[in-house]
Amino acid sequence: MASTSTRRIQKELGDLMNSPPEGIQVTPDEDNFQIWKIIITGPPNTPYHKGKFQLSADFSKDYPFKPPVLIFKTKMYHPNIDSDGNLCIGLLKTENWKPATKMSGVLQAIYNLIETPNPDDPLVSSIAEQYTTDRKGFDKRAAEYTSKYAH
Amino acid sequence: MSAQKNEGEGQPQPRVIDENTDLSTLTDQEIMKLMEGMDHQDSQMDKPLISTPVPLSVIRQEYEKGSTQILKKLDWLAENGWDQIWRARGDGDCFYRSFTLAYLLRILHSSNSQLEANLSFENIQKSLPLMEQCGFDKDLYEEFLDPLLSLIRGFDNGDDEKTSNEYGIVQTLQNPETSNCIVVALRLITSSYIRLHSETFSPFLLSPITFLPLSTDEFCRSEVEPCGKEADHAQIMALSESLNIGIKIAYLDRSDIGDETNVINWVDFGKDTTENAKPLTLLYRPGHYDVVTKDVLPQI
Repeated sequence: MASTSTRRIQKELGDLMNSPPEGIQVTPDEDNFQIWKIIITGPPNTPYHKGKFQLSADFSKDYPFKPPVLIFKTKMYHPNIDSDGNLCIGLLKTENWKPATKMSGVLQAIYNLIETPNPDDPLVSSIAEQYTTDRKGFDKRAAEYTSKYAH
Repeated sequence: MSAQKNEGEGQPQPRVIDENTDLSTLTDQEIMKLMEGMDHQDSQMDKPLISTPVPLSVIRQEYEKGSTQILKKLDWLAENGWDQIWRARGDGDCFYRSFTLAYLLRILHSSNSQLEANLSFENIQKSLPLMEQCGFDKDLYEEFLDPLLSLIRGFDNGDDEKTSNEYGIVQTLQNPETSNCIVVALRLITSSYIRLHSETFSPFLLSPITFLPLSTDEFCRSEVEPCGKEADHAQIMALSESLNIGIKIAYLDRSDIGDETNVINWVDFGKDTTENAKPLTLLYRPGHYDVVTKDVLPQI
């Protein structure tokens, strides 16, 4: 019997594959469609431009009542993403998660976070500080990471 | 503050704080400790989402050493026939789970279940355009609403096991998927109603932590739509008005005892809470809601 969880994941996957949002590409794991591979293309006018950043999305059986777990697989120099690929974004926190939030909205929010970092709620405070006080140095470093890891 | 005197004397060691504790008596240290413990509510997770009824005397035992006001209120409930408690799990969704059970029991015990089911069905249908107006995704809210609507349709057929008696209803609502879907659907109905009646509700939309006013959108996003967020007056009022159903909540706290005809403080929500309208009846203890009913004898 298809559960709410599997029906919902399949439907969202179908929608995202049929009409992918700008710069975002989603493919399910071959053996398990509850794990997605997501590739975000770095937004223009950012040090991430043209980089290919891979993420994994892992849906528990409690989805959509619990948020999916998203992890960056590609190293990034970004105040809200740590070296293990964890990302800090309000709408994915368990206490804020709304079951009616769609994955297209989640991915759009992550894209926006890459485009516009949020140094006020950082995961890596040293990067956040550099972002605020030395934007040039930050841009240079982030671009280095992009060309080294994301091509 | 006089309420503290009853048990505040000579109590050097920390007391046990649970759903029976009057929140107004908490010290700052106790609040800090509770906040720390919020991530570790595993003990709650072993309890059923909603239980078959326990006698009110079980609740009374928990208060035997507690305040006399609460005992008087419990005794008044018992004397007046409110002798069954259907416990909801204390996971922040207890109001919505209690609401669901009480809502379905109300249809079950109606003298004309089919008619009542049809009326309820129609009332819920009326909330669909509101959700659409608020920009919620149609496929999503229909999916969340489906378990509740199909249960209500079950009364129409009369032979659906899930809704043929109290036990069937409780058992169905103990299924996490069914129950969680319904909780989300009720949260979306509540949220849309608050959003579309912003002017009425905005003076009451406060953060439960800071007590500072929140915008309608902030309130709905942070206090209504996510699972696990307790319902307070605004949410209860919105759901009751949206589904056109009266709700009476008995407040089991240390507030002053009312007159002899109503020792416990009942707070009414919705247009019609007279006995004829058969309002839903819930029991509130600080931070927690359960269903309270008078025992209904099976119809022969």
